[in-house]
Amino acid sequence: MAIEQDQTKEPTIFNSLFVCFLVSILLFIALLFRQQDLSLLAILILLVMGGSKVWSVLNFYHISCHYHADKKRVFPGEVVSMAAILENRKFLPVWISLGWPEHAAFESLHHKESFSRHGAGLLWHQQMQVRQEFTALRRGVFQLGPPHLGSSDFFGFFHKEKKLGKPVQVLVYPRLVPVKTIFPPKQDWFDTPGANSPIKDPVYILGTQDYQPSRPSRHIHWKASARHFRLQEKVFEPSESGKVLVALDVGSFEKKSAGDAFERTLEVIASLSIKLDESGQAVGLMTNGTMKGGGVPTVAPARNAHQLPAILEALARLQMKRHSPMTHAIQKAPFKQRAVSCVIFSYTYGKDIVESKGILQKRRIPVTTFVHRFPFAPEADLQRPTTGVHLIDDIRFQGEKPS
Amino acid sequence: MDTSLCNKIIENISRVIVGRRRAIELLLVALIAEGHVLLEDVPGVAKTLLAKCLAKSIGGTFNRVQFTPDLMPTDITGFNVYDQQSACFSFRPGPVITHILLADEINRTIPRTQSSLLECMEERQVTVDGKTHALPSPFFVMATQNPIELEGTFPLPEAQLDRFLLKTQLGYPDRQEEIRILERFQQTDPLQELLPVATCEDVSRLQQNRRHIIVSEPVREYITAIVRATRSHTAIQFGASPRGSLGLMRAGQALAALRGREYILPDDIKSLVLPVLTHRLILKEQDRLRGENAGHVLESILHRIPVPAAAGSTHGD
Repeated sequence: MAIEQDQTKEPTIFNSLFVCFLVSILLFIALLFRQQDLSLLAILILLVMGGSKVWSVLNFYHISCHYHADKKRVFPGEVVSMAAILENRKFLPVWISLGWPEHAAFESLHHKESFSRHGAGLLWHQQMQVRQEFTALRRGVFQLGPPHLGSSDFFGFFHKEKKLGKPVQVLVYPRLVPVKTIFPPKQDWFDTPGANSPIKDPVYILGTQDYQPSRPSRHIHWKASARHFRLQEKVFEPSESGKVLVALDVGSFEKKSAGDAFERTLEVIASLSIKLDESGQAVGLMTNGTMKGGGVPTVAPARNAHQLPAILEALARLQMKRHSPMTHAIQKAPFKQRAVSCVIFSYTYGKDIVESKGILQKRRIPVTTFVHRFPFAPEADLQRPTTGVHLIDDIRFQGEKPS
Repeated sequence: MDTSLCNKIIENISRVIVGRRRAIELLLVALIAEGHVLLEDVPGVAKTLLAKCLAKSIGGTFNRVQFTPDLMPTDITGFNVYDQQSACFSFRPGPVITHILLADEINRTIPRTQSSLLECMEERQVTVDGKTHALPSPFFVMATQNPIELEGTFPLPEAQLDRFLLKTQLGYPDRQEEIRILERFQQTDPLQELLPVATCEDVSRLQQNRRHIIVSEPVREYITAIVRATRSHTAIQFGASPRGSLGLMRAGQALAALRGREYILPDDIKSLVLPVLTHRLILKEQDRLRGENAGHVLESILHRIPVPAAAGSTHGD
């Protein structure tokens, strides 16, 4: 990591030209009056000042510093360890200190002051490793650092500070909370949600195979058996391969300036996505919000090793700032896959959600809605406006509910 | 150790497969070490072609099974049919009775069918209706799976994964290689013109000779240190088993044999740690969600464990 230019210079009495001027006058007077002791003292002071100045100027030459974070993606409460290796690549010994500026979203471990600093003397061609640990406090995308390098001469007269290269970007995922299992309604074979489907079990027949004696006889395909002159049984596609698209209406939270509710909702979405993935469902995410640092706030439902990190990253980068109306986002959403169901999260059950649900129902996509609170109802007696709409806090376990 | 034979096989395969020297070498390492290979890669990167080339080069038989959800164990192992004329059951062998078996998209089939390969891979025999049939020697399974989409798949259980000696990838060819592929396949199919350069007996002899490759004490300790480090790493829930240590040693012996040495160097082990151990590790949930993978963890372990010095000199070579 290259060292960048000077950031600050802490003034001391010895870097003042005025002091040099005074000492020079003193030297001149001492020489004029042939005061040998005083002359030597003045020369000594000037030499020390000059030497210290040169030392401080040379301090940052051939000093290399490499730093990195052990984790760039963490959950709140987890520790990010920043390690830096400083090397003095010259023969001049130096006193070097390295400090990490504090960040509001991180708590520095072992250092309670606003600027955690580690210092040590480095002899010629010597290395030192500095480690600083930070605990992530809240969700978001943050820049840790860049670290500040401080150096001084032997006497500490001329202190200099420099800011090093680039900061390290750390992604803090939403906190994971215990959530209840939800069963999003599934689309069936004929893409018609509801109980009137001719096939009750949401599995599809893939084909037939020779009947195995250990298998249930109700799976025997009698027509195929008659055609093949041997018993054939139906082979079903696994029923667990459902697809769920989680949609979040960011605009509803922005309208009410409900920052806390927004964070709590993101925690539920993150935890729910993991739970659905564990249960074998393909999970996706879609929002109408903006992302910090750019990127697409839509992750199409899929099951692979990169899916959950992608969803969690999108949630970490999400800002409580609407990009487009929910209805527009829903129209662009990746519903081309078969058998996708949708779970909508919103602050209230407003007009935008009703319209979005209408669009989805026209496409025969089953919808479940979770809201933070129901509108037009007294706080003490929440009325559910319609079926298929639930409170977000209902899927969090009781211990996690706000007091 | 007959390095010229190994080189002949590699050169012969390279007449068809453009580039991919490392993958071909690993394939041969697994074959000589009497192991099996799991290839995790996207469709169309010559996985099947590679298996066919290997089978042709060693003059062995080749079978391919496309794994689907309705595939049953008997579709692989074979089954007994009743012969009315002789009034007795006769064994109809399945595709597993071959030298080289390509199990394409192995994770698309149900776990029951996947498990039917366990006995074949480990014991090199197949049991149908209580009767055991030996598999031909050499027997080599090359399984493939698609890393992109897991939907509608049945991830291989750990016990099954542990049976594969190596897991590797072919990857996409670079620009020059792709141009050479187009040139090579423009007029003829080079696979049709490929001739055997070895026999199955030669391969069996290579497998026997591999056992005599010297593994010095420091190398054994190095292998043990690496495998044990996987069990105590903070990001790993379950580390590699002793089968992993054995696999690493056998693969190291095979690589040493391939390079014409009679002893393993720590560098052989170092270069094989990722393909041999990656699929044997189970990461912790939190680290998986962070996008960590076993490869990164193994690299950090390799970086930490000191490489034994002058290990090859202990036997005076």
